[in-house]
Amino acid sequence: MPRLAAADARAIARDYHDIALSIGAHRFANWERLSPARRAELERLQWTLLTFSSDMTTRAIDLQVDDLDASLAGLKKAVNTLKRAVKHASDARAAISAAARAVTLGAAIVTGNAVALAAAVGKSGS
Amino acid sequence: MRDGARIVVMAVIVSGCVRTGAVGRYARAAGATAAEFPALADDMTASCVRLEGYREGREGKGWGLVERGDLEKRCEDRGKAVRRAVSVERVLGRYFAALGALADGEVVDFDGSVDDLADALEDDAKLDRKKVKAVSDLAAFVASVTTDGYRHLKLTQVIEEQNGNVGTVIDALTEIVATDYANILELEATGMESFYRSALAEGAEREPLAAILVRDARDERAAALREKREALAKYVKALGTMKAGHQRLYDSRRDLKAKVLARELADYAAQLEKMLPALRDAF
Repeated sequence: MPRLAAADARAIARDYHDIALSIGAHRFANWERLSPARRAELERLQWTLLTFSSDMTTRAIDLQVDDLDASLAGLKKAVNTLKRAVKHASDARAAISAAARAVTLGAAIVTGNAVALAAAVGKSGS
Repeated sequence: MRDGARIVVMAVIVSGCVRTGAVGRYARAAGATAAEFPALADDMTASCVRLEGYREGREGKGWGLVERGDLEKRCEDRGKAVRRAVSVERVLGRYFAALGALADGEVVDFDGSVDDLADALEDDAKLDRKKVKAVSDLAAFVASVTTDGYRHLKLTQVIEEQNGNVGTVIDALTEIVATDYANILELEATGMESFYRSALAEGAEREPLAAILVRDARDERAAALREKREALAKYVKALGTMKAGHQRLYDSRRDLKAKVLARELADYAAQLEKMLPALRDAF
């Protein structure tokens, strides 16, 4: 598992905040059209993404040093792909799907599970 | 000695004192600015607790039903990270105290904990080596000025040796405040907006009077966040002034008694002193 440099943790925190914002915007923009269950699902994902962003910011404050390996480039690409997917989600199902993949990827980053990370990066890019 | 010569000698001595005093004044103002960091840093943890409160209000037991201690537990990692940053700030603060004392020929009151900090940082492989070295070197200097040997230290030498470290440490603190604290407040703003907007969307029609109170509460909290953002910007500016002042000292280290340096340092000190009350009020 690559240990993130403070700058990378900051960038990922920023990206996850953006994804959470997009999910929130989608939920409120489509409030009347969404079923209560869909609204709840989107809100749950939004809070999870916000918490993840908050955790990554904590890592940045901790001044962690870089111990990078090649998977970090893939990680950044995957996060950007998810960011675009959430932003341009045509409906709730697509938004939930992309947000859920972002949550899976976030969990892999936090736990430092290299296998899970590789799998999550692969799925996120697809 | 004739009166005229005595006056000239006295003038030189007083003039020298005033100029060295400018270094001391700048150093004290810089130290006081650094000392405001812990209060600001505490809010980084408090913001995490507030964000968890909003989340709990929507997802958990409901607003006000969860114990504050439970929310604080969720923010323990943030608290630890913040405490480490505060320790780094303390080394910087002690450095400026030592610099001021050295400039004014005073005895430095040493807090031995900075020594422990340097050791603790070196033991922690997670830390950026450049930052660890900068903090450790500053801490080592602060430790050295408490011995009798400090009297032999030349101000010029100290400034020359520590300028890079001071810059690195101030940069690290600036990044934490300008980027991380700013992100933290933005996250809180997003969580707050989501909390209140959801509550209003769900209940405003059914309970219009309660909705008015909810809107008032949201506006109040949004205003408090705005004030924190403004204070954050002021602190970043103060850190920049602190760094610029030390760089100015470094640039003129061969002629610390120059009139122009005294004027400029007085200006840096005045800028910092002017910012301090607003920073103290904000946090």
